[in-house]
Amino acid sequence: MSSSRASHECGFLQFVILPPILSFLLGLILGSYVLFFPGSTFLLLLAIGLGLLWREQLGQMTLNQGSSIFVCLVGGVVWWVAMVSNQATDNLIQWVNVSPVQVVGEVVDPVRRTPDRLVMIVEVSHIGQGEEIFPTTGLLRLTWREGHQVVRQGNYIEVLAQLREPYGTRNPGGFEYGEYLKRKGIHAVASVSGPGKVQVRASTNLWEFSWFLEEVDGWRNQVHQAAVDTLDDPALGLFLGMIIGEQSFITPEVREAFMATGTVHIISISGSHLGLIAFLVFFCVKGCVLRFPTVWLEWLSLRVTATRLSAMVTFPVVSFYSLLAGAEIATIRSWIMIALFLVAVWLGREKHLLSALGIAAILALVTNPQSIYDTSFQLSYSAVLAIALVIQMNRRSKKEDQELFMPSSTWGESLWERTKQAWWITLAVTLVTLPLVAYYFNQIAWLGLLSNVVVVPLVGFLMIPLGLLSVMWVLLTGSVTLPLAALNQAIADTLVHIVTWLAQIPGAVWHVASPSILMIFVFYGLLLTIVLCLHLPKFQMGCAIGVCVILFWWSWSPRFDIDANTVRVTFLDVGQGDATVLELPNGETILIDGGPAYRRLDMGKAVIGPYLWDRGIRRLDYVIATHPQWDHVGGLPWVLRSFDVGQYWSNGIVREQEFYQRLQQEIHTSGLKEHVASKGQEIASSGSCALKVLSPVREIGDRSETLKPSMSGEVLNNQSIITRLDCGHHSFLLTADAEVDALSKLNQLLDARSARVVKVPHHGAKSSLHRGWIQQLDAEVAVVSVGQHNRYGHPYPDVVEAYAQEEIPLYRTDLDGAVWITANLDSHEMTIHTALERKLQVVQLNTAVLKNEWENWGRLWRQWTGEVS
Amino acid sequence: MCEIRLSGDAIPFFCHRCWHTIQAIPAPTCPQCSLPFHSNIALQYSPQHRCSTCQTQRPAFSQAWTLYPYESPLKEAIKLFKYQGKISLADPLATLMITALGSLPDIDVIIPVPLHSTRLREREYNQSLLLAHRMSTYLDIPLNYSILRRIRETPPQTSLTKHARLQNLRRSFAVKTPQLLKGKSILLVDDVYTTGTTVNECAKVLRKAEAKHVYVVTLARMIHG
Repeated sequence: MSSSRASHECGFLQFVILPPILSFLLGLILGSYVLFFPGSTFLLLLAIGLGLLWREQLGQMTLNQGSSIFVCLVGGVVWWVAMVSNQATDNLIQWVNVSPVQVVGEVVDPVRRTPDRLVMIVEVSHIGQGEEIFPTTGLLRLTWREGHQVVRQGNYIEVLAQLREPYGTRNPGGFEYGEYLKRKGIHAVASVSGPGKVQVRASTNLWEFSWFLEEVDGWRNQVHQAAVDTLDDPALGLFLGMIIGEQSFITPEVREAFMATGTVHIISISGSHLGLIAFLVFFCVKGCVLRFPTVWLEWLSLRVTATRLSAMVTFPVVSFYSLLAGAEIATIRSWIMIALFLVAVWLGREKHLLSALGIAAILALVTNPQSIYDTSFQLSYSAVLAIALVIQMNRRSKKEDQELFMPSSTWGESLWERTKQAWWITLAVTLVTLPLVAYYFNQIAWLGLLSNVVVVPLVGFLMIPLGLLSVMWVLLTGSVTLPLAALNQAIADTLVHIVTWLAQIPGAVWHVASPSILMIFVFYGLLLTIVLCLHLPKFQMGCAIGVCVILFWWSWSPRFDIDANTVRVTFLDVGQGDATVLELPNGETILIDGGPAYRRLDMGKAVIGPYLWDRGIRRLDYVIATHPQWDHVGGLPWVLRSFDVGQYWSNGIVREQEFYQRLQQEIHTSGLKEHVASKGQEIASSGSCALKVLSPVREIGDRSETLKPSMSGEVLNNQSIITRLDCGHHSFLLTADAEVDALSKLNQLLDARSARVVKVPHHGAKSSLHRGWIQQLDAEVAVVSVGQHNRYGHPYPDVVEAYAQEEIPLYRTDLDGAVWITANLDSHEMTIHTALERKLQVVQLNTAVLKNEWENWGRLWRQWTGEVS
Repeated sequence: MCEIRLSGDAIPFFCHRCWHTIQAIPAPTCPQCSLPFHSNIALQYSPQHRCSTCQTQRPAFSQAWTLYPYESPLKEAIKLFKYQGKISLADPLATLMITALGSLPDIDVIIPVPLHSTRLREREYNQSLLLAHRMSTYLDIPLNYSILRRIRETPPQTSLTKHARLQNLRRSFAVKTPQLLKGKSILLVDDVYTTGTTVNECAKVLRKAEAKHVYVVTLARMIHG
């Protein structure tokens, strides 16, 4: 009786709180699928309800427990549906893609700040068009570049902007930005640039504390100025990033090094910083108090225990740091969690870390249910969950109702103990976040296992405390320089040295295929079983082996569907641009063009890389840059840097623009030779497959002529490399950006001017409409690679019309997403898939519900198993 | 404890019903150390009849009140209070002591059994001090927690055999300013009375400081057999 007593006591709160929390979470997830699976969701809820009732009948749970679980579950579903249908009635959508309108609304989330821009979520209240004003509801994501003004949550703003539908690229297994925003309830995006473009009005309601926030902003500026005046790169970037949450001064190189070593959480203020500071302050205060003379301590203990006192001191420090850090969503989330934890410590219930975590999660989800699909939400909660579990298990292994009489351990021993525990925590966090990191970032940051043990204490116990102390000094004395600058500088420099050195370890950056969702579930299931079945060591062992096998499989990420009989051609959705991947039957891979690279969105990194990794491709045997235009080669430098490339082919034209110089630089550093393509050459040939160059025509060795510095777009386009892939019965004609001139020449090649699959030249531009050539095509499929709402008006309606007249089905990457064609060499068979097919369709209740739901199950299965063929 | 959900109970961690099962040690008991006797006869004829332990070796204290048997659920409560940091139990436990305590002789000062400073730093508080503090407030008798010190770090009594216990605490306690205790009546407060060694050792040093009387009160008593 007595032995079970203590465990009951500490398991008590968890037992009451956790099941409802978990069922609410499950309810939210079910809710997010209810539109696609109304019948199935209903049946599932019914089944769960009956199951609970049955358990109640069997006496395994009380009616109260059962009903609270069920109510929370249904509550989750209803909550989600209520929030989403609330958004469905938003009439902001009707202003999307019309002419620019005057928008009035309130900033509802903490504003995200980057060096040159502000990103705010605006709850629109009115739309003005011409003289008229319309009351409107809905969320708008507004980007303000070069605004040089502070906007804060609670401010009212007014802006003239063109609203757009949230749009992202759609690729198999890829991250879909548009859907992501819509899921967060944001149905319109807009961006403006320049000072004064957004009129900011002081907040009226809600924020009576705005003066306080302004004060904090003032502090931040003061610190910023002092740091800029005293520190140098890279210490400056790290200091600003870690102490006041300014990311602008961290160079991309430093960031990539941190990313590779699995320590990227260090350079932005994340939960780990707050947690470390809380830990440090808490134990420092406690340590000091416990070193008081005995009589003092006894006097104190009559009023407050050392633990409570420490909790009391820790709270304001952590709050100050959160404020200073800019109180972004992630920071607030961690702040809530730490505050709850401190309350738990205060009440002497610190064992309920899990409950604190659950409550914090629910608080975040009730206000914004969609954040359950947020990458940072998932990552930070799973990380804290892992930490909580490790601490919990550690506790459990200690004796519960006896203090152990331990001879005071030496410093070395206790340090070793601590290191061991730190490593366990790192291992657990790495393991738990691994599937998510692999899924979202195609990376396994295994180096984090080693680097975090070094980097986290260095940062948490040296850099941040030192930084915060310097900040306090600056704020209290009004000093214009940062004290202890040399020390700050030295520590930060050491940190950067360590991290960059670690990042250079071969294989540090290890890219993998996104694990399928089903496998992720299996993985977590096994981990959970290991944690729960502590009393079944053999069973646990089995699960551990299972985990290892899955880990091995994920990190290996083999290409398991090389098939000597299939050729696969994928037209990726890279927005307005081109990128085509050819996978030949012998396993050779060819990339033709690399899409554009915007400042914040490099299609190489965002689309091509993840696609190749998902296919298990780590080597590109041939990379072909059809012509040096930004929307075709912008993403190539990243590809050349990140993949093992066999040969590089181009049309040999030299340009002066920055993107071209970058490309040349990368070719040079990769040690590649630039092959110049000319008609008649065979770039790749293997067995029954051959990739031949049809255009441009060039005398061998005649390069001088092509070195003209600037060329009109038309000439450049006509010089682009047109290739044709022949594989058994199948043929693919890839026309790059060829315009009428090049197409006329192509039209003369009687044996090669058509193919079964044709990539429409030049994104379907008007200048490439060659009716004669289209009329002679006997293609079965045409694909146009084009971006949604592009400013060129591609594809030109007449072009679409011309293909329709020839009765050639036209696939468009702006509407269908990525298009991939697999062809069997032995037959005429050819299958065409699009990313759009994978998208779940809303089931209307008045139509064939069963059939539609069944189709959705198929789509879900393909999504979850990551099936790409 | 009894797995009933707690809501708004005055006593933390325990339900009303369980808490009320805690009953004081019934008479008759040894007039010196409060050891319960098996039958009423023991005291019928000679009210000053002592238990065998007290007879063989006269304790250094004048009288000890060991109020409750160290049994469930009080046992669990004390463990939580002592080892798990649940100091919110101090009030209800002190109330238990106060209710069971009969009339007391004149007392000049209340002294808790001290913890060694190392142990104090581990535990952050002295459970006996917390109880003594409440009693001092209730009885309106001054509390002195600095005069009696534990000067030797020893393994916990609970981890030892009876014989080792006796040895363990030898010369563990000391009085800081003996002159202050001269001729005083002292009430020594501890949480659990097991063999009485601890309070006895304390009483010894207090007597050495020429205290007139040393009385002992403990919340619970381990009852053997």
